[in-house]
Amino acid sequence: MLGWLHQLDAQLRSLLPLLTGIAAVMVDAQPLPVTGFESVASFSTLCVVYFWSLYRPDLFTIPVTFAIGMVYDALTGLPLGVTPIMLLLVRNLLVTQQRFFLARSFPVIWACFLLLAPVALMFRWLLVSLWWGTLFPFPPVMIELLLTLALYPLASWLLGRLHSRIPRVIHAP
Amino acid sequence: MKLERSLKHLTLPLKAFADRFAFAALLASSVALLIIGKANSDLFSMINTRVSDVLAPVMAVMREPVDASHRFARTLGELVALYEENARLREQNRQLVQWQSHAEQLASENRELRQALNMEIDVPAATVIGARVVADTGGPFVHTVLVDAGRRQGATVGMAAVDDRGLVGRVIEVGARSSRILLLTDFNSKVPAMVEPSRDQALLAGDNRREPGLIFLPLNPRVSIGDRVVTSGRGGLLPPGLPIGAVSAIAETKIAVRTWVDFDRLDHLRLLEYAVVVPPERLEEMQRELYGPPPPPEAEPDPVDPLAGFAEPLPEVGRPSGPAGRGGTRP
Repeated sequence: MLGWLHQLDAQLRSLLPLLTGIAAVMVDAQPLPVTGFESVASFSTLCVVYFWSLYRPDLFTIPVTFAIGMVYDALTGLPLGVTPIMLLLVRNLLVTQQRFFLARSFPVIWACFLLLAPVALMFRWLLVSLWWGTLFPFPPVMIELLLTLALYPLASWLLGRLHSRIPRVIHAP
Repeated sequence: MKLERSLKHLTLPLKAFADRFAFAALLASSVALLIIGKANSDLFSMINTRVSDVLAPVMAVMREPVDASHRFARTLGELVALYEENARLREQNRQLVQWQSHAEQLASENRELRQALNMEIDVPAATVIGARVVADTGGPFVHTVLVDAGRRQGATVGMAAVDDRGLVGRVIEVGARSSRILLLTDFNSKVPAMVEPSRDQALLAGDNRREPGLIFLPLNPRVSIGDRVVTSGRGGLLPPGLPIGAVSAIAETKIAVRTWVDFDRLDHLRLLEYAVVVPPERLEEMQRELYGPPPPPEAEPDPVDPLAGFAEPLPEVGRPSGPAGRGGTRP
């Protein structure tokens, strides 16, 4: 009985990457408490995808990444498929370069995020502009980028605390 | 232990292959979705409303602490400025009472004039639904908000969304218990509008900036800064006379309108349906709802043999008068 509960507990914990991803999407879709900006939102979903792709790609699988992207697009009203493409490419890049990131300190990982996030957001801007056949104003994308870059340390700290609660290997009872 | 290790040797390459396949397959399906969505937006709409329906209640709960902190901060601010605020409100109240009597006088005069001209007295909006904003997608691309009223509450596509200041946008997607509202600032938003003193007709077009612009104005438009802009009601979708904003800047390329609505602080909205002018595409649908499905068409000449009718001798001129008339003309 106890073994079964343990296994359930471990399974639930292994769902944490997916759940945090969906929570991040909902945070991104919340009205920003800071007013005065011209329609800005952070893109905390990217922080979550970056973090889990680096530390737990086994739990943050490709279908999970796709699902989070789809939920993001459906909730925010973007063309379905834009965010999944971007997130899948980001995840793939990180997983293939996993060796480089092994045992790196936080500043290095943040610096890599500083390099990756602009490329990812530019790519999405281009994709959305192509889809609608109009060039969207760029300044809001820049604000979104800066907010996202600034948000990463906080997101990483929060996710790190959750990460320590996920067992490395799920043991059979 | 040994078995486990050898199994691992066997499954690892398989897993890598599966991963690569999943990546390629899902990437391809994302691209396919984009292409399909460009051609058929109904599919998008269906998926969007399903996801929104599921997440809207969760997001409404998530909004509570944010709202509570807003309320708290506002209350603190108000407490500090209570004395000045009170004096200001007294003064404003005095002015508003004067305005009220003026407005009542004008309204009664207007009513009498309308009666004298046999004009229809203003028809109020048919349906009013209260809704709360649960998600404000913000972001650099789409300017829409999600509200917690859907089909179950009576929302339909095309309804006007207003708050206490003026027009916010219109409903573009309706789920079971959530709807999406396209804000006036979105670049897809086009609303028939009218500049008030001159009654020049135009379209209010969003461009993803804070202030939408007026397009398709008549030649030599009479527009000046500060002119009120309201909905014109053309097209029959939105009621006429809903306040939108005031002209704030006139440049070569754009006549900007500052909206009364503060899009950063959308909270409670009302969805209005205007049921006076029915667009032709909805007329048929309404008739079906009222009178049931249309009766089957009258019996036509046998479709198998279109020439069957020609076998009979051609009727004479007196045919409509009945068989007696026909018999009379025959030899």
